[in-house]
Amino acid sequence: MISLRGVEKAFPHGPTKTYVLRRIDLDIKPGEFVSIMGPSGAGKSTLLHILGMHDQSWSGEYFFDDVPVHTLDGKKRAALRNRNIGFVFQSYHLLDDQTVFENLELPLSYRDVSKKDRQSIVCDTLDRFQMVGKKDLFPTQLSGGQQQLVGIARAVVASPRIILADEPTGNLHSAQGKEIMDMFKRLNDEGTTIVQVTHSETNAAYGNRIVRLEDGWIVNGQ
Amino acid sequence: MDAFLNDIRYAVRNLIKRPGFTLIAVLTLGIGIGANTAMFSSIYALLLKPLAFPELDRVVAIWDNNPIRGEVHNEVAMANYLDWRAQTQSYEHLALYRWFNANITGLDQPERVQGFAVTANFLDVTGVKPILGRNFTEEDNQPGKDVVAIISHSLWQRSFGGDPNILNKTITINTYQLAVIGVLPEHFNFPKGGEVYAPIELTPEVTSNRTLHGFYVIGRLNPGVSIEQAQAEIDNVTARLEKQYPETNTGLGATVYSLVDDMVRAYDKPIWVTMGFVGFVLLIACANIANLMLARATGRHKEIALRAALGATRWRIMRQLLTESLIVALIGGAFGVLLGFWGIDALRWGNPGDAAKFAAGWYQLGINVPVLLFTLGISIFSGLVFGLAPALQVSKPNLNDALKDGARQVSGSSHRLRSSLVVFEVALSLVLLVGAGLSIRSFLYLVKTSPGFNPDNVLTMRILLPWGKYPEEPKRAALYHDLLQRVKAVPGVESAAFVNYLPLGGSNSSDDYLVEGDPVPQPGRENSGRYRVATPDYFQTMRIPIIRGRGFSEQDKAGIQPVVIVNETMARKHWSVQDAIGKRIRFNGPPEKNPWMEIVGVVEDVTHELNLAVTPEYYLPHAQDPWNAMALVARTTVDPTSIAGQIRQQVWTIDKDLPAYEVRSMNEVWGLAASMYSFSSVTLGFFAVIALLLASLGIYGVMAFAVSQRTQELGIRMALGATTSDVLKLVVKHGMKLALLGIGIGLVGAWALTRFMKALLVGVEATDLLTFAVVSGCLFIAALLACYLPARRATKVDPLVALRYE
Ligand SMILES: Nc1ncnc2c1ncn2[C@@H]1O[C@H](COP(=O)(O)OP(=O)(O)OP(=O)(O)O)[C@@H](O)[C@H]1O
Ligand SMILES: [Mg+2]
Repeated sequence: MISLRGVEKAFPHGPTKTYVLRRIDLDIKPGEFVSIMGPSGAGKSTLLHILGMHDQSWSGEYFFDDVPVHTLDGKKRAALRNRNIGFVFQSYHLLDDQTVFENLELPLSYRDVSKKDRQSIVCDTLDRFQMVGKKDLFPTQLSGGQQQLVGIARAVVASPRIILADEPTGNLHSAQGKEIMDMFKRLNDEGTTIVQVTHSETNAAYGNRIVRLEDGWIVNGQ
Repeated sequence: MDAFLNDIRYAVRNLIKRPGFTLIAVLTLGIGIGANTAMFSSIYALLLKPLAFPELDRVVAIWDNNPIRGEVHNEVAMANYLDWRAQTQSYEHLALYRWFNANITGLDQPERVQGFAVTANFLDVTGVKPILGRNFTEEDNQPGKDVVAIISHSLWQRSFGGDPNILNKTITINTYQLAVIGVLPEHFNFPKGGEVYAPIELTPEVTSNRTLHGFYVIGRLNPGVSIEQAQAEIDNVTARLEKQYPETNTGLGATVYSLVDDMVRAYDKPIWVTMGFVGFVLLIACANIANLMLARATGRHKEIALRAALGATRWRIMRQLLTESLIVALIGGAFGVLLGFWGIDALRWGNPGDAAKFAAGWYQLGINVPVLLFTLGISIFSGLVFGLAPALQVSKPNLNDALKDGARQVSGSSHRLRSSLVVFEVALSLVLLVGAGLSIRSFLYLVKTSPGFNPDNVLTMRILLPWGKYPEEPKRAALYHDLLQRVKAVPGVESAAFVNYLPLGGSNSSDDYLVEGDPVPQPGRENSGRYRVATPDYFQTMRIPIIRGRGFSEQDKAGIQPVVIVNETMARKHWSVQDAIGKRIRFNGPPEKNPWMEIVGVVEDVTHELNLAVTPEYYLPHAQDPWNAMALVARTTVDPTSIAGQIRQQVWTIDKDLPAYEVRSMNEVWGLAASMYSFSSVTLGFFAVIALLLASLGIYGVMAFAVSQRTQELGIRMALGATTSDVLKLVVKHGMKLALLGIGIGLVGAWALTRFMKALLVGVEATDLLTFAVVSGCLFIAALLACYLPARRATKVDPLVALRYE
C-alpha cells in the first residue's frame, strides 16, 4: 500500500544541512497496524507528515498504491490524501467553536459529499463511537479521552483506508489511553490500516509491527 | 502624583517600543481631528461668532411675513417700522437700513461699492463704535441733513491710504458730496460687504410709506428680554396695524429672529452637514485605533495578568492603559491642528475670492483659542472613546486563563468587540458615501441640465448709471442704446443686450400683476411673478427660444403700447401658450401709472435660481422701463474674457465715471451659483473617500489579525482536507459577513440621515435608489479587497507549521 524508497529529509542549518531522516525504506501493507517508536527528536513526526503528504520537501520515492506521490503536484496529492488518509493528533485539534457534530462534518465538507449524505454519515459515525448524546456539546465540555475519541471519529468519518496518529494518547492518562487504543484495534480489525507514533510499549503492543527510528535512521522494523 | 508620572513614563516607553502602532494611530487620528478642527473653525467663524458685536445674542433681525401669500422673510415698509419702534418696549434700539449701489468718483478710477442707508441708531444696535470720528445723530436723518457718511476700514485704507485727516474730507458718492464723519473698525463687515454708510433721508413721503417693502430691520433687545417675548409683543403691534391699515397690512405679520441665525441661514446647511461628515470620520478613525489597541492588548494579556497577580487593581491597570490612549490622542490632536491649518487654507482656496461678501465671519476663519479648546476637547474625547473599550476588555480579571494558557489568548468577547467596531465603521462610511453620492449627483444634475439658455461664450458685466447724474429715463435708455451699438462694434462680439438681472446672478426683481378679464385678487392673494427688463436682442444673445409670437424689437419704444413677453409657465398658468399672445397684464397699482401691457411673445422657461422651481416670469422692454442698473450680456466668437477690456473701454468712452464691474463670463456666473453644490460635492466626496479608506483599513486589520490568530485552526482545516479555495472562501466569507451587516445598518442609517441634506440637493431625492445601490456596491467591492488580502495570506498557512505546536 505504502512504499518509501530512499526518503531523506533535511533542514538547512546555516551553510550546511541537518538531516532529520536518512535513506528511509519502508513498506506498509493494507491492514497492518504499525507503531513508530524512538527517542525524542528521532524524526517520527517528520516521517508521519511525509506519509500524510503534508510535507512536500523531501527527496526519494513514495509510492501509494503504486502511484508515485513524489511526482504529483499539490492538487493531485491533496486529492489522493483526501481519498485515503485520516489524521489523529496528540492534542486532538478539535475546533473549539464548533460542536462535536460540526467537527465530524468538517472533513466531509471538504470532500464531495452532499449535505444530506453528510448528515447520515456523521450520524452513523456518532452511533459507531457511541457519542450520539454528545453531538451538540462543544469540545471544551468533554474530557480529554472523549475529545480524542471525537478526534478519531473525525479521522474515520470520510472512510480513509489508512489512519496516521501522532502520539494519540500522549495527553491522556492510562485508562483513557486504553480506551483509545481499543478503538484503534477495532478499526484495524475492520480493515483500516493504522500507523501510530508512540512512546509506550503497551500501546505499541496493540499493533503487529514496530518501526524504530534513531537519529533519522530506521534501526529495525523495515 | 508619583503614580501619575510613572504611568506617563511607562506609557511613553510602551509607545516608543511600538513605533508602527503609534505612527498609524497618530496619523489616523490626526486626519480625523484635523478635519474636525478645520470644520469647527468654520463653524465658529461663520456660524457662531460671525460678527464681533458685544452681546451678539441680544441682536435680532425682524422680517415681515404674510402667511396668506406664503411669504416669510419679506422686507419691511418704512411706516410700519416707525410704528414698531414707537409701540414696542423690548428693544434698546430698533434700526432700519436699506442697501444701495454706491458709485464713488473723484478717485483715480470710478469704484462701485456696497452702500447702506441707515437710521441714525444703526450702529447702536450693533454696539460697535467708529474708531475715528463720530456716530450718526438723529439730526442726520432729517431732510437735507443727510450729507454725511461713515466708511469702512478697508475703504479708508484702500481709497484714502488710511489718511489720518479723513474726517476733514468729502467723498463723492453717486454724484453727491458727503462729509466723512467716521471710520468703522476693521472687519466690521455688517451688513455683508458694506463699505459706505449714509443716513436715510426721512422725508414725510418716505416715513408715511406702507407699501414699499424695501427695508431691513435689526434691533438690540433690552437685557433679559427673550426673542419669544419680543415676538409676542410685535405680534400685538402687527395685529393692531392690520386693523388700522387693512388695505396695506392685511395678513402682514412680523417674525423676530436671532441676527446670527438669520444671517447664516443662507450657508449654514452645507457647513453643518460637512461637520457631521467629519464627526463621522473621526468616529471611524477612533474605531480603527480601538481595533489596533485591542489587537495589541491581546499580546499584552500575559503582562497584564502578571501585574494583576502581583496586586495591581483593575482601576490601576485601566488608568495605565488609558494614559497611553490619551497620550496617543494628544499627539494625534497636535498633528490634527497642523492638518487643520492646511484644511483651513484649502477651504479658503476652495471658495470664491469674495466669500467674505457671502459669509460675514470669513475673515476670522483660522485657529484661535476657542478652536484649540475644541480640538483639545475632541482629542481627549477620542482618547477615551478608543481607549476605554480595550482598557475595559484587557483589564478584565481572568488571570487564570491568561497565566495558564498562553496559546489561547483571544477571548470570544474581544473578537466580538472587534467585529462590532468594524460593522460600525462600515455602517458610518456607507452613510457618508451615500451623502457624498447624493451631493455629487446634485452637482452632475446641474451640469447636465440646461438652464434654459446657452452660457458658453457669453461675457457679462454690470453697469450702473448713478441716479443723480442720469435722472431722466429717456437719457438712460438712450445711453444704454448707444453703448449697445458700440459694444456690438467690438470685434469678436456677435450680439449683445442688457438685462436688469442676470439669470443665476443671485438677484431678481418681482412684482404683483393683474390679468385683464380676471377678477382683482383678494388682498394677500395677488399674482406674484418675477420679471426682468431687457433690450431687444436679449433672447437671441442668450439663446432663449421664443416659442410663440416675437421677441422685443427697436419699435417697442416708450410712449406707445407697452408690451411684455411671458415665460411658458406663466402662459400655461393663465391661458395656454397659443392663447397668451394678445392678452394683457399690468402691474398691480394705480392704473394711470401702470398701464396694460400686451403679451407679444412666449419664451421657454429659464432657470433663474438653481434651487427654486420655475415660477411665472415676464420680461419688459428696457425702452419702456429704463432701469438705471443693468447687466451686459455679449455673445462672442472668441474667448469672452479676452475682449472684456475693450468693452469696458467703450463704457468709459461714453462716461469715464461709469463703473463696469463684476466682469464675468456667463459660465463663471453659473459656477458661482453652483458653487455651493460643487463645493459640497468635492468636500463631502473627499471625506467620504477618507472614510472608505479608513473602513477598508479597519476590515483589513481585523481580518489580518483574525487570520494570524486562526493560523492553527486553518492548519487543522487544511490537514482535514480544506483546499486553498476553501480557506480563501472561509476567510472572505467571515469578513464579508461583517461588511454586509455594516452595509445593511448603514443603509438604514443613510435612509434616516440624508433628509438633513435636503438643502444641499437639487434634482435628486434624499433617498435616491441609484445612489444607495451604487454606493453599497463600491463599499462591497472595497470590503472584498480588504478581506481578500488577508485571505490570500491565510491560504499560505503551512499545516505542518501550524500543527507542530502540540
Ligand atoms: N522546521 C524545522 N526546522 C529545523 N529543524 C526542525 C524543524 N522541524 C523539526 N526539526 C528537527 O527535526 C528533528 C525531528 O523532529 P520530529 O518532530 O520529527 O521529532 P520526533 O521524533 O517527532 O520527536 P518527539 O518525540 O519529540 O515528537 C528534531 O531534531 C527537530 O529539531
Ligand atoms: Mg513528534
